[in-house]
Amino acid sequence: MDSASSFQTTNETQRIYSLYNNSDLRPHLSPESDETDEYLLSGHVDRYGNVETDSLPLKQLQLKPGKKKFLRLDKAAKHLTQRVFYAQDIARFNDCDIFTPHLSSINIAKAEDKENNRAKKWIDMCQVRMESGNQVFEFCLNKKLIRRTFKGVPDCWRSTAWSSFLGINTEKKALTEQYHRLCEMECAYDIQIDLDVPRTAASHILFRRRYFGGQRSLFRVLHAFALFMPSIGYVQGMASITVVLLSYLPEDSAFLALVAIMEKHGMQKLYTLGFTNLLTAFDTLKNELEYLPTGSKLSDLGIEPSAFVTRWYLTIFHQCVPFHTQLRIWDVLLLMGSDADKTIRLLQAVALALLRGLEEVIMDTDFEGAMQALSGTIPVQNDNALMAHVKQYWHEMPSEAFERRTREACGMVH
Amino acid sequence: MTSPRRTLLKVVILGDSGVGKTSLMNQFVNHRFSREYKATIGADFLTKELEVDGEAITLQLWDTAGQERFQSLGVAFYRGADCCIVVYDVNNAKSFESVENWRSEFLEQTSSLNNNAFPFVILGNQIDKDPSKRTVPLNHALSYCKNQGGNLTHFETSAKDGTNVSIAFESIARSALENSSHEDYASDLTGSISLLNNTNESGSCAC
Repeated sequence: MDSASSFQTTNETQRIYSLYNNSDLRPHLSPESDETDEYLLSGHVDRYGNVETDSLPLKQLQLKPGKKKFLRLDKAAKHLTQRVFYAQDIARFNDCDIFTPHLSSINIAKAEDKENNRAKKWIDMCQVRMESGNQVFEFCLNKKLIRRTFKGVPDCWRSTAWSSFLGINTEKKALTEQYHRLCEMECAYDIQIDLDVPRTAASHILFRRRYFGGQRSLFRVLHAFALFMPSIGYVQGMASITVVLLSYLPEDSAFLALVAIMEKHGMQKLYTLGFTNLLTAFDTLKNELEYLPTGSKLSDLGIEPSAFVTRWYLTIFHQCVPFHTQLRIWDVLLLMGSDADKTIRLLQAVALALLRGLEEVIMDTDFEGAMQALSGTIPVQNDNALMAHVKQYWHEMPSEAFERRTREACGMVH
Repeated sequence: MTSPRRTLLKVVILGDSGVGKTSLMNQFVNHRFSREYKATIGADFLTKELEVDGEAITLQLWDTAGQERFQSLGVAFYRGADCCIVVYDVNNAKSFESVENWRSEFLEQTSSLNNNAFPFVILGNQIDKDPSKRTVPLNHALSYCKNQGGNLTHFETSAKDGTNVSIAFESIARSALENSSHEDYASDLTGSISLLNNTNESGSCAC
């Protein structure tokens, strides 16, 4: 890069930086812009803040009649997602405050009862201790916690539980201060981050307004993280992870959480330059798939895991499954993925569970049909069924089950 | 039921992040444009059936991630491609400078036997924007295509209003069809394909 173009790049990153940090510089809305309040706040908003509009060209698998057996509608889950947002909830997003939906706004009594009961159980599991004058909420890792996390963390507990699982609930003064310093520094990835910020979660109410609210937090967290981990920098996919964190945590906690997911949970391994570990994960998955009918069918069709798993893993299933399903996956991943190997094993378990869920579709289709199913949003309706499969594969991968059965068969012979 | 045999052609779309690869593909396949596309992570996939010169074709379009480091995952998507599209933004000089990088990376990873014959279609997108913002003049792009000496075709397009999109993709389909006929001929000498046409080796720019 010659000096003139590097000078231009610096100017461009400075311009982008100021758009996210200085209110005065926000470009004037043109009349044809659809960024009006009416547009941004219109449409049905689900309990997680996702705005349902028809303008989104979301690719979704169209199931043929008679193919719904494995995607049985879980009534309670459906009603839970239909809870409406109230005006005060929406107003708070302008200050990009913590996003914690209220249980009280559930309008389906039965679902509310169920979730309330589960939330009460989580109160009992939660331990409170004082640390330098602040309350710290913690969960002790035991069988009960694991079982209940597989059932799904009640949404009102997600913020607290995730913080505890990631170990960011205790005071992290040094790292938080570093975050604010990094926010002030220049970052060569700003141009790429600026491209991805508006197109990562355009359907989420927190991230709809250009250069404001959630988009500012998203930009700053990614900007700071790229500087924090220069060996990786910013890679597409990180924005999707940060969007989910920002939906549940305030900005500086979201940064701490992203650092924890990358470092402690080892997601950075998948993001390394050259994607060597990601490619290894594809090979492992391909090997495991050989034990499933879906796997040999995909081989016959010439579909390699690399064709669809990249997005699944690098975004931790963002927009690959419905948001309520993704949250269930995240609950377990944040608790159980305490190092890189465990994290990758869990991602593989989810991939296997999804492919098993899609078995009927894939066995009965051609290359195009399979690719369309795998590269779109998989319309999972029964999260409990999916998580049961995840749990099974987490405990025993198909290759391990095969070895065990072989051992058992040998044992019977002797 | 007698349906004519369809020829399946694989096309890979490359180019810098944000130049409009996904938008072009969606404008061509679904005839719609939305500002709310998501960033493509890894690769995305769409198909389109069309007819070129009386032949029924299914175009298999592979849309890729624009961030440079995803090139190391590219080889899986590049394999078996019949034509490669490289997109740049006419308002972004850097994205035009990257075109050659994408092209050479593609040729390297596919280790094509005859690099000069492999068809590339270069698309300068986002011409709907204010002309004062343009930083890549048409003649720069044309002279690039001419000087490369390979099998390069160039179009300027707008994924937003659809300008030149169907013309460009028709040309892409034709290039892919021609290239796949060459391959069939080379791999199966007993085949009865008679489309081999070596007069097309000189670099042509159809605009």
